Amino acid sequence: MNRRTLSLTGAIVAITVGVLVPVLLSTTVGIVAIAIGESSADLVLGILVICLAAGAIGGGVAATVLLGRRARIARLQSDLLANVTHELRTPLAGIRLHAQTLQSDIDPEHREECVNSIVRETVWLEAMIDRVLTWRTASKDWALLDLTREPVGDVLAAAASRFRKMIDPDEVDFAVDLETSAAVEHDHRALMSIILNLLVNAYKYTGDEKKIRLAARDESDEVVITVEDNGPGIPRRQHKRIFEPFHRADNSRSGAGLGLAIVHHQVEAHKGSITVDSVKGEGSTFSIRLPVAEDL
Amino acid sequence: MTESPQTVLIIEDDRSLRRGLAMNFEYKGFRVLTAATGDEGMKKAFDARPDLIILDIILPGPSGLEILSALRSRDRMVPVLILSARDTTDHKIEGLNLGADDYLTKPFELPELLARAEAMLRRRTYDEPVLTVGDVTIDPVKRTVTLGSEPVELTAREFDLLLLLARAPGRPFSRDAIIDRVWGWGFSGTNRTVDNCILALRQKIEADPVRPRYILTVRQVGYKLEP
Repeated sequence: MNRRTLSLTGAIVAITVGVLVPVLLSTTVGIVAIAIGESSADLVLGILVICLAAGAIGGGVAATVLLGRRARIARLQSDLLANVTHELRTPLAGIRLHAQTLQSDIDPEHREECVNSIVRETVWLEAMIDRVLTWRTASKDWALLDLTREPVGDVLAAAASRFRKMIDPDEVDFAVDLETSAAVEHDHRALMSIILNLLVNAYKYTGDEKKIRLAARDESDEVVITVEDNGPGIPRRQHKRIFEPFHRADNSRSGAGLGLAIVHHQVEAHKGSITVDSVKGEGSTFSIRLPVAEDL
Repeated sequence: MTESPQTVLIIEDDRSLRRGLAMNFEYKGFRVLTAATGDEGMKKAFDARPDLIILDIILPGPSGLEILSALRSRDRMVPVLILSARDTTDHKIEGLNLGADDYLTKPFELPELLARAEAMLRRRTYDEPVLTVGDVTIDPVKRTVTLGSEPVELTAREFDLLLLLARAPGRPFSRDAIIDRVWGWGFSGTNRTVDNCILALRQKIEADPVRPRYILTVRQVGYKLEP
């Protein structure tokens, strides 16, 4: 990735130099022509050359700025594609590995584990594909939300049960604690995607002995949904920035850096808010607050 | 190939792949170690002295490439096969230039991965020649030392220290350089640790440990192996 960044920057530098050097040269020629020129023709020529040079500088600067922006966008797009590809390749690799293990003469006792892994990986793949689809629609108008007014418990339970199918119960200690009955105006699919995004994030950023907890409770005029993990935590100075598009806690990590930005969008579309609270080495808690729907 | 089973270290954050690979290597008769994070991988790559490492690049914590360059910059020549979802030529070149011996992209073919792993181990036994300094013979592959015809029992650290000195006979190494290359990642001891290891080594290979013939002190610098 660094190579590509460098080569794009390199191209911009090359173009800048390519434009500036002739421009400076011709300006010098123009000034010299004016300085040593005796006839008015020399003077006119000098002024013309300087005008030409100024025009070229303007053009060069504009081209550089434009190219720089296009390069940045192209880089973001290619990063996004690369990251999406990565997210799909890993479960695919798991499926093929376990299928080929079954084809080989492995002990019968491992067969069940292989089959279970394959099934789990297909659920991951499905979730990843859903995520990519959400990213694509995220830029669209959120007025398209299909809002219903009811408690969110069922949607949260559905998200939890889907997440359970993606994980190995031996690997993750996943707890669900839903104590909410207040009606909230929400879009089922969007809320499902918000919660799954947070759960997948918690899974990805937690090392061994993962502990993840999904909870919801009613608080006066809000419903508070929390996703808690025992991962490495997020430094305080990043707490705001992690919701920005393409920001990632650590550049070498997987993911497109879009998940939380989209979650943020989706929560705001529900007139809610999302915050993170984190203690280094102990874990992070993402809290979503959604307004309780007022009685009609 | 050898009497004791060879150890493969699988550094991979995806649990399904990690377990699937472990299952297959175990079935092939390897001793298998696994690591799910960069930190754990770094620690095991240095401390457990595996015969082969299967290395993912994108990991929580230090990346696979960081682990690889940490190993190579400390002369750890353990064969490394990178297994990554990054499939561009640039990524492959980057990995190979950092010292990886092979590169496979995900999704991969299991029989191919196993065959490549075994080929890497075979190649390794031809690649590293036996070193001889005076009466001391060091086999880097079998990790054995003989003095004349008598086998010498060394700890893993003592062996690595002797091997480091023996790869460049006559060249003095500072204590810091020795710590960096032999103890490697995350070492928190002092120079005394090196001195103690040298003393132990002299006890084992010198005829007269007080007046050493092989492992000499270079004043103000450190130690060297006299050819």
